[in-house]
Amino acid sequence: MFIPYYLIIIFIGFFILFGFYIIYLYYLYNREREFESYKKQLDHRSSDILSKATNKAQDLIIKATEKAKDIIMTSEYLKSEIKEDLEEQKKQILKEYSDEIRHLHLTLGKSFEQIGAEIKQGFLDQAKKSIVKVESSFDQELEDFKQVIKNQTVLSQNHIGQRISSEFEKAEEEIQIYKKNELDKINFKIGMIIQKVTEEALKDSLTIELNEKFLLETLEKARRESFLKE
Amino acid sequence: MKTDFYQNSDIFNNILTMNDLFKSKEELEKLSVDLFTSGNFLEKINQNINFLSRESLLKLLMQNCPNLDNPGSLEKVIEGIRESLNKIPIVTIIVAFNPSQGAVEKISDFICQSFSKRIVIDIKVDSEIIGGVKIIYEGNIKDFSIKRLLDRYFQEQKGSIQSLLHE
Repeated sequence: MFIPYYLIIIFIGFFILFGFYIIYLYYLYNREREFESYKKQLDHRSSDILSKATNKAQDLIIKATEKAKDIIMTSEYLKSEIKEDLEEQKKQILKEYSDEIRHLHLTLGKSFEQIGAEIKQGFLDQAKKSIVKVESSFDQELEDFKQVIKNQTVLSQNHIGQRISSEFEKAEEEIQIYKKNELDKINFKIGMIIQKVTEEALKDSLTIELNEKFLLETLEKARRESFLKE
Repeated sequence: MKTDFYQNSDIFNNILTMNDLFKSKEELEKLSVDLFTSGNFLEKINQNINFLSRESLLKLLMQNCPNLDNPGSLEKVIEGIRESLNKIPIVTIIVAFNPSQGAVEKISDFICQSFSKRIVIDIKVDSEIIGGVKIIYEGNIKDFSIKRLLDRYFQEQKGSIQSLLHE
């Protein structure tokens, strides 16, 4: 059986590559194991560090608590002392102020009464003067007002008198004009009536013969005076 | 010229008033129509002309119409007379009463003499003028009425009448 040359080469190459692959896998396996062991070591160390830190922190907290308790106790003590001092000082100041005020009251009371009386008297005097002044001023103004009213009344009376007189004259004049107009109207009407009556009387009294005669005479007169030729 | 001749003819002597004028026109109208019918011409004149003077008309026709048997030429002369009638001036006379024929003649005579021509008077009655006459000619009015005299009198004597009233 004959195996071609190139197949032999391929086969050998394949085995070589397979061998390399196996070696690489082994290498990877070893690296993984190393990594796992490092990880375990690291975990172990970190848990140690944590437990140590916890212990230390607990110690610190205990110590701090004790210290704080001491401080609180000291401050409570100081606070009660300060409070007592303040109470004492307050009482002292109050006492001093009340004494001072009592003294001032006694000394100023009299002065206030005196000043009040003086002011009151001053006000009274001023008020009296003002009232007197107002009274005199009011009297003067009243007198002036009376005078003005009196003058105005006289003026008004004169004015009204003049006006009445002028109105009266005007009314009289108007009445005269009215009377004249009415009289003229009546006269005109009477004149008309007289004329109408005359006309009616003439109409009744004129016979046809008279009328004819008058007509012919009129025409003759008109012809003589050449009226018809104009 | 013919027109003047007709107006001066005696045929119009009877026409004094507007009524006379209407009557005359009517007669001439009838005659003018009748001319064209058969019959004697003189008979036609006798039948139709009553108010106007027959003699005067016949005279006029004989003078102005060469052939009396020709109705056309007769109608022409009659037409001329009618035109003359239309040209007679009219004067309106207003009087207070209905005048008698005598008065109308006198009035007409006076008017014609006054105007020196033939005039037809249109008489109207208005009792308001009382008496006298009002003459209206070509728009002019001449008032000779008693009413006007009275108006003038009362106007002039107004003061005297008023003073009499107040005495």
